[in-house]
Amino acid sequence: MDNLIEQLKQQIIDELNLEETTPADIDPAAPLFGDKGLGLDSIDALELVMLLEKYYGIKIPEPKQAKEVFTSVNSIAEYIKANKK
Amino acid sequence: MATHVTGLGLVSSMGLDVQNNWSALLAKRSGIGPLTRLQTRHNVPAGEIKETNAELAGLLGLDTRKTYSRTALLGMMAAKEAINDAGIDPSRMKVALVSGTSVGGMDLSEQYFTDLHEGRRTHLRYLFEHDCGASTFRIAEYLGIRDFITTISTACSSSANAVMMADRLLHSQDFDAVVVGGTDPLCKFTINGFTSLMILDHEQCRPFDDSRNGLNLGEGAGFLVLQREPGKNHSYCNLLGYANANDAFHQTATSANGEGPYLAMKGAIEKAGLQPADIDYVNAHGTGTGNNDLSESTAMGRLFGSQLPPFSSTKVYTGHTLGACGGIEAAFCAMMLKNDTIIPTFNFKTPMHELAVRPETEVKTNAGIKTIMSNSFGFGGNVSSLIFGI
Amino acid sequence: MKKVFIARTSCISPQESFRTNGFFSSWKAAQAETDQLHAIEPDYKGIITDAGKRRRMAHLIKMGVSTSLDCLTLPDGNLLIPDAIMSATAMGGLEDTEKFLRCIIDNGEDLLNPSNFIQSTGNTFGGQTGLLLGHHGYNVTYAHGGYSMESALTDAMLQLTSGDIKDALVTGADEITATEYEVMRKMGFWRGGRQMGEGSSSFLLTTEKEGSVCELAAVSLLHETTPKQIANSIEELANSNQLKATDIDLVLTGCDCDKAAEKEISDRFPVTDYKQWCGQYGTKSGFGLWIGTQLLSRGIAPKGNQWEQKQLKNIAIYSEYRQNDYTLMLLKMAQIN
Repeated sequence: MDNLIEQLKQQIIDELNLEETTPADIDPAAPLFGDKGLGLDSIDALELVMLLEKYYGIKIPEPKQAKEVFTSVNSIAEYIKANKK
Repeated sequence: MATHVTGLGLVSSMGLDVQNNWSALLAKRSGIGPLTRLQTRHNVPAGEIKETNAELAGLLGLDTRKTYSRTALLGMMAAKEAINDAGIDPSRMKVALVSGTSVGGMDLSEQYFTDLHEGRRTHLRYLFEHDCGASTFRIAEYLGIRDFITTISTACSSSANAVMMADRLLHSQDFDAVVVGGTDPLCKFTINGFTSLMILDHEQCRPFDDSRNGLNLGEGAGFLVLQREPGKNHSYCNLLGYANANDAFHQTATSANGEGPYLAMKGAIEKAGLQPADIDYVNAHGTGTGNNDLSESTAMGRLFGSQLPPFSSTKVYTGHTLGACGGIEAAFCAMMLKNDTIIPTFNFKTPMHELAVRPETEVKTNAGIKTIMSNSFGFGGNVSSLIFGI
Repeated sequence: MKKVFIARTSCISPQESFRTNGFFSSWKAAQAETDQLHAIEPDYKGIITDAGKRRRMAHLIKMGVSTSLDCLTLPDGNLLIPDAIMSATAMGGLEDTEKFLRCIIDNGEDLLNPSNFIQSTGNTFGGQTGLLLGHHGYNVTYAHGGYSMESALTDAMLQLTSGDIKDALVTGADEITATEYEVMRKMGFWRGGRQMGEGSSSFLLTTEKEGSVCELAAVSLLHETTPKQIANSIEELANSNQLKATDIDLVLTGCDCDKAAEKEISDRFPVTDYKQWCGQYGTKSGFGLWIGTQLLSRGIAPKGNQWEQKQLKNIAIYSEYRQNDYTLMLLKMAQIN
């Protein structure tokens, strides 16, 4: 699980082009969206949908579902663990 | 200084001229259905025109062995009808052309770029039809317009913004007429683009309904002829006012309080020298996405208060035709005023739970409409409202 | 009718033109050994300070937004908020368009990156500028080849002269992409010393003469013209602005292909080629306009391979794009009453 979280952090930084952020800056429990935490927006959410499909083969068909999955790095990791084939 | 709408031209999935479009609108007959012409793996309904490019070129009397972008072909067809309808001759008058498009010659680019990308020999010159201006240039060439030609590209408000520029040109630079509108084709690029944004409904779109789940794309072109005097053949209505505002909220989404839409509608009413209560009908942008319809309704609520005028979205007939929708819907508005008829939306059952507003759902004849507004909102926060009246 | 003045400018180009006197401290001849003139880009971190907004911006967007913000930055560091924003681009977000097309082809219409799609639309840098300024006013983008810049300027002038607005930011930008370069190379376009260029130029237009650099007296789009007509049009433009042909001190020229027109103009007017410094692109006339404003405000003029101290009064800018789009602009030094 820890490995997965570290790997996810790096993938998020690369895919979303978070140029001034290092994996150590990301608290896996902190919210990804909104003013606290990483401050991502709705376009980032769409890119995260793509990230999950690209690296983990997991499809999120409904944007509404994405909201719950993308609460934090931890929640994404849990979702991957539960859904990875 | 009045601006008269003296000619109309329409091409959409409902038909290739104004009359066929109007009959379909009156019959609540949508042009949206399964894609059959465009090759894509996405199984989404769309307002697709079934004629191929070669068939369109044939109808336009062009050399069918030559290659034209679909954008240009659709635009030529609608602009030609508008000019004929107004009875103007660009070779004997000073005429300007202002067109709006979001993707330009993308239907050709995506075809020939694939060859290039995969290392095959290809017709490189067709990639020169890519830029937005190229389609306008082809339309101007076809119609013989040579006094002023330009193109606006502000995504889905492109042709509404074109109407504003056209009006300014008409009154300042001594043009006898300005041909104005917009054109956009369906292409893989936009279908994949809106798929990546997860805002395409896999069923028919349902503007302002609580169950709405995105938009349907469409293709087409809509053009008007604007003149300072009543036209030789018609004077459908006058362009009374307009405004463009920037939502300045987000690259693609509209703000929750609808600041940009509110400012555009308010600005258009002010420019027309009217009050909100004077607006008899609003042709909403009404795409059917969760975000747009709620934001637009919120803005209308802020502007009109409890006296919300009748409104509807005609996207259920045409799909969202992107850069063309401002021109197409302006032509719909001109027809509604001329026929004193409100064209309704459909697929509406349950009002939005956040804000319960009810669009018109039945055709209303003898509607008593004299002043109507048309909204077009685009990516980049570019939002615009036009007001037409008789 | 009100007159239109240029109050402030900013320019990113293949030369040292951004926030520096570099370009004018030494005459830089065209770099003849290359057929691509890439823009000298500033460190964007200091200009677009919001890292969250900057991270998604492609090359074109960064250039367009940067000159826009720089043009509006007052000496005290505050930003001036104009009544209207007009933008111009011949090709729009070409880099993102190509990336998204490759995405569609390579992944079989799957794994699509929404950012590339969003940024591909022509109005991205104009919209982003509005977003960063929190600007709710008029915002529009013109995309019509070599007429893009002049269309945006025409729109601004129409609204300024009518009194609808007091000031407007006009920005024109285009970028080099590998694909466009390659397509044009295969078609032989870069033979004979032609160079592809890129850049962004911004202008704050106002109806206030005080503190302005010069007057933008006229912008003209020429359609279906001939070399002789073009030269005549320069004279007509002078005449309609109470000048004689001989009052035109300099014509800055940006010719892509039309050698005959270039010759006709140089036979009748003193000329300097501005395109040698910026290369060929749809909104290169913005660079030409910027050079014109600099010559007038700095009181310098080209002399052989040098600049000399000399106050020019009236400068015309002639541009031609791929032998299809021809335009003229006229700058007059703002007379002090």
